[in-house]
Amino acid sequence: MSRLNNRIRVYRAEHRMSQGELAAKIGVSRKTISTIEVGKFVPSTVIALKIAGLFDVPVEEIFSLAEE
Amino acid sequence: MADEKDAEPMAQLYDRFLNRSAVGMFLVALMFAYSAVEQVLGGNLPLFLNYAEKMLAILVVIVVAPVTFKVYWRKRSLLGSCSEPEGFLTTIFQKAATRAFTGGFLALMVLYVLFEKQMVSWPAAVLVPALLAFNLMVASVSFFLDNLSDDESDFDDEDDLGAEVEQ
Repeated sequence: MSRLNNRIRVYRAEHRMSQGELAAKIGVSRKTISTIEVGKFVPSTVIALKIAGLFDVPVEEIFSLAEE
Repeated sequence: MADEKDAEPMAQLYDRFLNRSAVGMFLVALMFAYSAVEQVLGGNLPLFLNYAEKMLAILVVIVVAPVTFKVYWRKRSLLGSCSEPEGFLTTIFQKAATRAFTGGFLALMVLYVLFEKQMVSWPAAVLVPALLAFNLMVASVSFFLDNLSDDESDFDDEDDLGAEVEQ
């Protein structure tokens, strides 16, 4: 069973961006961003790529697999 | 004020639509349950329950209709170029629908296996609303439970953002 780690919160903080702002920029709801951040929701490839694209980093900089 | 509402992002609006739909499903489930009980008791229910059912019907329209029309018009104005925004609530809504189907199917199977002979005499006017109520209840409760979370850990405050960077 693999778990998806993410560093969205860190990148948001670096860019001084709220969950709502990030959500609006990539076209999802704030709830979606908050549930991705806490690992409750695994985003689609499209959402992951949009987030990475927004922060201008490769997607694996933000998302990584953690073996349990 | 009107501009502020118009500026609501589609994804946010769609989340609101899904939340309202789940509430609507729950209320309709109550109406179907009332209908089934009414059939069983032969209409011998207190008068206030009759009014309560009508109030529920009005409530469903008030809760669901405005946001449904808003989503519909927003989609029309986007000339069909907008698919449903993907997201957490869309996923749990689909999961709730799957659970409702599975629950309804299992309920029917159990009823069939345990009460095959007796079922012949059960009136459809009781069985159908009871099953509809069960399905809608499973779907809405499943949605509400999945939606319950303590993940509202947004930090819009500038100081919080700064503290996070320093960490």
